[in-house]
Amino acid sequence: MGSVPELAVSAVRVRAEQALAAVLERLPAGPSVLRRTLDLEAEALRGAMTVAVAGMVSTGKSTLVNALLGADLLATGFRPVTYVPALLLYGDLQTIRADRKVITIEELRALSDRETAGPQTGIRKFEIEGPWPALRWFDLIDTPGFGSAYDADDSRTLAELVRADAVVAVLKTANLSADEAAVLRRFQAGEGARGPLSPISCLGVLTMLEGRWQPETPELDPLRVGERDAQQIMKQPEAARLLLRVFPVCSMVGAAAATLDETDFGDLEELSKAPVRVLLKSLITVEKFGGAELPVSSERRLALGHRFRPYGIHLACGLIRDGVDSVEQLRTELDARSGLPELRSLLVNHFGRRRDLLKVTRVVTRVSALNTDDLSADARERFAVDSALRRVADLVRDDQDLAEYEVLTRLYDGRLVVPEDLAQEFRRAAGEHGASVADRLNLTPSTPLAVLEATALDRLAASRDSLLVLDPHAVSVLRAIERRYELIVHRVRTARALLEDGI
Amino acid sequence: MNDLGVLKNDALSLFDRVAAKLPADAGEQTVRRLDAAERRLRESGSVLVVLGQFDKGKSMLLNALLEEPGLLPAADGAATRLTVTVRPGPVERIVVRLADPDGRRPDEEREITRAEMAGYVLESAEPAADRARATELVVELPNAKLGEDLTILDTPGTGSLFSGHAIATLGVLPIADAVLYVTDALQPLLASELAFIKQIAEGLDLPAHPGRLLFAVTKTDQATDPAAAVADLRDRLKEVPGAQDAVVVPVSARLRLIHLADGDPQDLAASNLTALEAALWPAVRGVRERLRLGTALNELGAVVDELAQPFEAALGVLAARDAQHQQSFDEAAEAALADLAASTEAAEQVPAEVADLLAAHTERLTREADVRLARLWEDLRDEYRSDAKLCDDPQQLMDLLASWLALLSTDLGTAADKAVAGVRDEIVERFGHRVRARLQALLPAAPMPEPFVPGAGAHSRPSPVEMLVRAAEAAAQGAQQGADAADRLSAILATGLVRNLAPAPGTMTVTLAAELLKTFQGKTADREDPGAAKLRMVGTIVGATLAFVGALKNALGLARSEQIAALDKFFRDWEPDLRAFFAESLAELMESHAASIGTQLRVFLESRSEAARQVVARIEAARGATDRGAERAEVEARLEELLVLGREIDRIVAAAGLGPA
Repeated sequence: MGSVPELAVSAVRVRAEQALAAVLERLPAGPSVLRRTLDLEAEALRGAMTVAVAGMVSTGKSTLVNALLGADLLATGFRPVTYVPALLLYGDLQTIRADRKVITIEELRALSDRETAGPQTGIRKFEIEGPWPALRWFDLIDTPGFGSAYDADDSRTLAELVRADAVVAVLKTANLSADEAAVLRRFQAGEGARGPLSPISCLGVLTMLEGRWQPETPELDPLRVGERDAQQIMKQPEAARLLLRVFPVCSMVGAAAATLDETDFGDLEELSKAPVRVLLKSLITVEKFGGAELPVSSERRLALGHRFRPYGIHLACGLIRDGVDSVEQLRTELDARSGLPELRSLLVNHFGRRRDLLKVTRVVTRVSALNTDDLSADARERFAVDSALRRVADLVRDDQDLAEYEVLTRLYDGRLVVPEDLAQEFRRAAGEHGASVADRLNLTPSTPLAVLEATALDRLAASRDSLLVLDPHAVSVLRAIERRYELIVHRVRTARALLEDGI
Repeated sequence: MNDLGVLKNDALSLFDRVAAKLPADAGEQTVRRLDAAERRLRESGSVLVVLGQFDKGKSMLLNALLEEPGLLPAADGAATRLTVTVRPGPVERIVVRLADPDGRRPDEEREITRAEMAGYVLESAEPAADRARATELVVELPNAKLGEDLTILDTPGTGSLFSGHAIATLGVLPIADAVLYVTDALQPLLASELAFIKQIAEGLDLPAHPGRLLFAVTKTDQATDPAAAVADLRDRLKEVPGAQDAVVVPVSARLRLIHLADGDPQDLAASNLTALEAALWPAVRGVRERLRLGTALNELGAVVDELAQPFEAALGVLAARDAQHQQSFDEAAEAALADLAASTEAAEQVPAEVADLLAAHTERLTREADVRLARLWEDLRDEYRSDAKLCDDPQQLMDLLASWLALLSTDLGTAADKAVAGVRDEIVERFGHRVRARLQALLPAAPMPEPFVPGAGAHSRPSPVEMLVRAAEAAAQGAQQGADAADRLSAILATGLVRNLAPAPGTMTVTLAAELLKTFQGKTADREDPGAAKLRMVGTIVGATLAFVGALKNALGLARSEQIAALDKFFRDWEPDLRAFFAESLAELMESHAASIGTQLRVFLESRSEAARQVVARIEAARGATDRGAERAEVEARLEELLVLGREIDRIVAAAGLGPA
């Protein structure tokens, strides 16, 4: 693992580490399957969280990774380009390794392209470290796509996914294909990541939306089109059961923005001086754009067109015409219009914030399934190990965050069935729509503390009086909500006390 | 006009010339046969089937090919739900076929507007109120590209929820003229697509007819490297028997549609649609035109040979020396009379004999079905054992099974056709079929089997294209009903059998299969054509198979070994039902064959009687002739005229490349 910048270690992780250590202590001496498993779990708990980017072949996974990092790292293209998984980690300096051997970025590009290198290179994995802010919170794995005509790719991808804690599912169209639905179902059945995936550990991204823009209707924002498609996807059961939501992004515009330099800016500035109608007419295809009567050399136009796609060119020229006058500014504006900032922040909020919860839950699930029968002939010894193991399993019951997380998981996978408004209130209170107190109470950020406190108390009272308490499913949700509201009341009171003291 | 068109015109003028040579007392059957054969040659008609994964732009490509922007509803990322049939008509008319929810009354047909189509056809559009009942959509329009006679079937793509339609289409392929497989330049061919292409190739018997499958690689306007997409596809096609040299054309339907609006020739050139059309239209029309020409000439030749027979007989009699005069006359007349008597007698006995022969074949085919089904079942078991994906994905598993069963049904149907043809030929041969074999076994595995004698029944029978379209409808409806039944079935299963997914043998599955069958039988109460019966079998089997997808979803949460055990049990329990289904369908198919072969043989025997009567009459005329020299000169002249016609037929056969090598 790379040198992960330390986040505050959560209490739950500390307790989980202690509980695991306690089991290890009680294990009979000498190597055993159980010891090895627990060692691995403990190590996984200490490591950074791993998010895998997965999807069908040629859906633009590498383009998305490039865009997320804001770097032009991985080779992208039509054929299944990525055939070796790449692990991307946070590090102070950019270092690239092919199976531990340090290589240059040019070597990486050559080696990671099936066209130039071919699958016979024998390399099993790339590790890329660099100071990319997005990776402060988790490691990323770029995987080969599913469903290519190269069978080996599928098994490689699955092997990588088993190591991941969470998954970004990359989708391409408004209707899940049978293949895509199959991949999602396999995730749900527990074949992706360590154990079954759920909306807590899985979100969808609809990529390459710039292709949906057409100069015939230039005002049509592809992200808006994508938003409609995303809703359509979420209507399909395979998606709804598995994905928190689906994010539309123009990943190629995002990747192009990240690598925008002074020369690009100069050329785009020239191009923006051309009459809008002429420019639009040329943007029907990249080839047409390259061949049109426009400023800047035809060669450069082709190169820009391939990188930015017609939509990116249209956007950039429009922004420059509207007064954007520096590389930095154009980069930010394009990035904002690619939909990527929202995705980055969701990844950090959703996965980053929960990383300890995700990891601990996974450890608990796996430890609970361990069998001690063959461990030792000594019944007392077995009992000691068993009770230590039970402490690990009990983590879920005793910790508010974990308990709430458990209820959330059960709601998502359908083991708990409650009225929709209750489910919605719970998801909101549990921070699914934002982790701030105001978000959890569905109030605007500027709501005064006194109002927050009063609202939380009202809701707490309403939960306690709910008639749903007679329903065994609803009652566990109600309890989790109550505990959350209690915490909120406590937190708001503390804040008020501090503030009022300060005054 | 192409060469084939010239030859066709030559053949049509020959029909007139032969008709002029008919004796005044020519038999009714001979006139009818000529009439029917000529009509078949004139009627023309071809079918193009468009297949491919969903969201590859099939509908948009068709709009571009037909130069009809906005005809078929198409939107990025939207899947087509129904099979859409586009065919020529005098005025534009769009009809949606709506199934009766209870399956008791016949389908309702409703005329709708272009704007209303999306509500029925597009998955993502605001659905029409009765969309769930829609089984099929037919567009009739005057269109230069369709001409008089081209029908196009636009199928919902594979890989979508409506893949049953496409799988059912596999059953139609043996009689389709050509398939346009659409893929795009944005994504390499998926493993699942390649598997489907292999099945299409099998359905088309591609190694024997390599020109029948063409590929369009669409969306080149959005792709960074269309050439790579074409290269990738070609590379993949090396694995498909018969597709190694298939036509692959990269195109942009969008640029063609923009060109239609703006008229910029650069857009047309960049769309590359001209290249696709140059390859596509001849491929669509060529096969059937040649076949049609071949069958017509064969029939014409048979009539000419029969017309010549009396003159040949009379000439033989007239050429004999005086001493044997009387005897020759008598012998020839006797032989002709015996022939006449035999034909009349046979006309009474043959039906029973045919029934016996067909029954023996039905039994043999049923045994073959059992054996092949057992083998298929074994392959299926191997498949989900070696491929973990299939266990987790009931849709994929059942799609695979459905396509295997579709191909098995198609094979059995073809085997039934062959068996029936064998029976027919055997009986015909017994009467000394004297027609010369002009064609080199017609065409290899003729894509559109024509009846031996397009005789009496031909007036009421639909054209082959019509039959094909009806068959495709039957198949699509089967698939659709299967999908509907799947919802019902999974609801039943979800209540009581959540984990124990395999229903007790002979209960659920039998009920469902029987129910599906009955629905179809109710709809086709009148005796149907064997071609349609065959396709109905395919549609039903695909529909019934896909109905179980929901049932299998319950196996998802199980461990791998449990999954395999559950699937084993499920399929084991289902096998007897399927065996019964095939046995019943084959019996039904053979029955409808028996009816049609009965008609054919009756026509044949009547023709024989007529020919015999002509021979007798001509011999009588020769016997009664006062001036034998003049009689002989006239007979020779008449015979020569017929021989000239025969040679002309041979010339056209050779020119069309249909003759013996």
